[in-house]
Amino acid sequence: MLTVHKLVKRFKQVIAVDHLDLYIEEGEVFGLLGPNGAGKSTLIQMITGLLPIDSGTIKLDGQSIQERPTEVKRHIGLVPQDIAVYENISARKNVEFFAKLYGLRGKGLKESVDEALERVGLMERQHHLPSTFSGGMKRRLNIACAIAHKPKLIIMDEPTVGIDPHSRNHILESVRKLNLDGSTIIYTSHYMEEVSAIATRIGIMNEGKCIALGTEAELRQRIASQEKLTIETEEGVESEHHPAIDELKKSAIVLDVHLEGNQLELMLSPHYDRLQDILFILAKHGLSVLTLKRETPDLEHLFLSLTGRQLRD
Amino acid sequence: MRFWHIFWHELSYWLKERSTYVQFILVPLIMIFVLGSSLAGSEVFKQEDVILPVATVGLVGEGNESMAQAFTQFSRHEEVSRYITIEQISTSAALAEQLRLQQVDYGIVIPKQEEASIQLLQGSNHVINLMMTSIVNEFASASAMHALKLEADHTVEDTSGEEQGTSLQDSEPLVSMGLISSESVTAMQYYAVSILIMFLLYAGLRFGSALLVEERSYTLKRMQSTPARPREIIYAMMLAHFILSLLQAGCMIVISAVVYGVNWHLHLGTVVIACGFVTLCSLCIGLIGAAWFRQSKTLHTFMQTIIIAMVAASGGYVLIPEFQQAAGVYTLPYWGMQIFYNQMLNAAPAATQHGLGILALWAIILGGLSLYFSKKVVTR
Repeated sequence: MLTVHKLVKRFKQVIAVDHLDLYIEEGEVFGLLGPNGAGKSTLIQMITGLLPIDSGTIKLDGQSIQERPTEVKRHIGLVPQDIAVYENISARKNVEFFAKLYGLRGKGLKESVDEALERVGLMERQHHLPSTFSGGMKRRLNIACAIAHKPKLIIMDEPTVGIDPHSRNHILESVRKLNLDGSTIIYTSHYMEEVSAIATRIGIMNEGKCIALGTEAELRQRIASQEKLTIETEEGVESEHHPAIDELKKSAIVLDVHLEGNQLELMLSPHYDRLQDILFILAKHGLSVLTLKRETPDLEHLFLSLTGRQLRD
Repeated sequence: MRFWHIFWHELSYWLKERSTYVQFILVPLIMIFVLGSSLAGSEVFKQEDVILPVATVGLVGEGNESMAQAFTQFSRHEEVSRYITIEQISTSAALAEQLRLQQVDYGIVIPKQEEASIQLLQGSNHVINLMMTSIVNEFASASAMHALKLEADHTVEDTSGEEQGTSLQDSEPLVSMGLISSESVTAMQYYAVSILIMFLLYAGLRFGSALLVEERSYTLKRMQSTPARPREIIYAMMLAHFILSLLQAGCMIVISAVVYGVNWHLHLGTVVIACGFVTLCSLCIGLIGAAWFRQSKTLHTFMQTIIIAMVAASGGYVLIPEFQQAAGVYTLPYWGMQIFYNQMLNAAPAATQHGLGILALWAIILGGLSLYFSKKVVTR
């Protein structure tokens, strides 16, 4: 459905999107993950025609956004990261205004606006001003404005930022229903559990490139052979340059070490069972172990191991 | 359709805003009243009818009798003879002496050569000097018209003084004393025009701010993600503000005429074109400002400075003729105001057309610049 081929976008010397290739299947929910500055928003802005493309192509159902922007935009609905609604006109008028820009008129317009408001649960507040809404309700209205024209592709750029759990669940439920009704969705988020809950496929972006792509199961498989060991020490480790960390990093059995407060997180080689070697290194540097937890890492750790950064900086 | 949808959305928003009526109609009307009534008694707006004295004009022929005779005959016309009596004087020196002794009020020396210009010697009476300038100008234009007519008829071989004199005598002198009598504008008229032009210039600030608000609330980006083209969005909003300004001008003219009795001497077409050009220029400046500055406060400061400086240089707040001639002519409001004043003083259509031409030139230059900047506003 959506084909991104060798896409490049530069801002002076910085390459925001670097020869990116991506294919989104019709009917899927594609979760797009990446730390701040990974190039997600730049990619979305290029798909929606908000930013010109330096090189490469973006095609929706075979139609190029560069060559036929008006036609392609007709089939895309963008839910921007920031709430983009008029505070001084009613919720219904907001949805109507943007729906009309997609060419909806008359009875079709009324029905589509009703349906969009119904989907996000704002039918009862349709005649109220958004300035009287809670953050969650504004986010839902933000979505309604993007779906009234029934787009083939809905792009949601972090649609749940800063909202209450009730509104978040409502939005996630709306995404599922939209998908069941046939919409293809690109969903970006900083919340791994959200993406995990709704996405059929996940792509991880870093420094303008897609560094991992697949279903959640496929991505988990990449780190299934690793284990995570969390160690809490009595003395606390203040810096990543502690001699104990340096020695642990040099050890063949430790793949990676991160410092989280006074806890050390160690990624270990597969099937490693000589825990005493690690305890020996810590003791050698005067660190007494308080607690020790051994677990299989999740997507968050995959992200960390791939990018070297936390998902939420 | 998208264009008209955005246009109507913008227009209806501003029409529904109560502050629009306060800021753009009520405030200017109050300003017209305050400035117009408080400055009505100042020297420049005094409406005294001057009783013109009969001036004694010394005329020196210096051998060019035909021209001297033509002027004498011109002065005998009923419209002119009410204001002057001619006294023939033999030499320029004698004329200068009589002027010094105030035996004559004004002097005219007609040179020997036809091509040389007539020499005018002003006396001590300012009113008579102004009046004589007007009369001599009229004589000069009547002579020029006569010469052109003769040329057109292919009878220029011998333009004897007799022929010229007869012809000039036949022609109707159109001597006007408008500048020194009750024909000048009143303070209320003056400030009604300057405040109208000033508030038309505020259209640019309103439009630029609206663009920045759309940008700040991310609705501009959202509109761009729809099939609406960037320039479609900008120009639809621009048109809405253009129409708003014309409505504003209409309200101000009608209300000031009814409530304050301002006599606008309107030619509807000219008013619409003049207001249209001033508004268009202002909107273009607003667009350039919005492209240049990202902060609404900076745009406000920029536009306020430009508007206040231009209106002040044009004499919109205080009449400073010398400064207006030196600096005001290079500003937009000066020409907008002149068009209205010319209409109020029933000036020749050429003067109004000249003003409209200059405003059109401004609009073309600013329109071209804003065409370049319009893309920058929506794509940054």
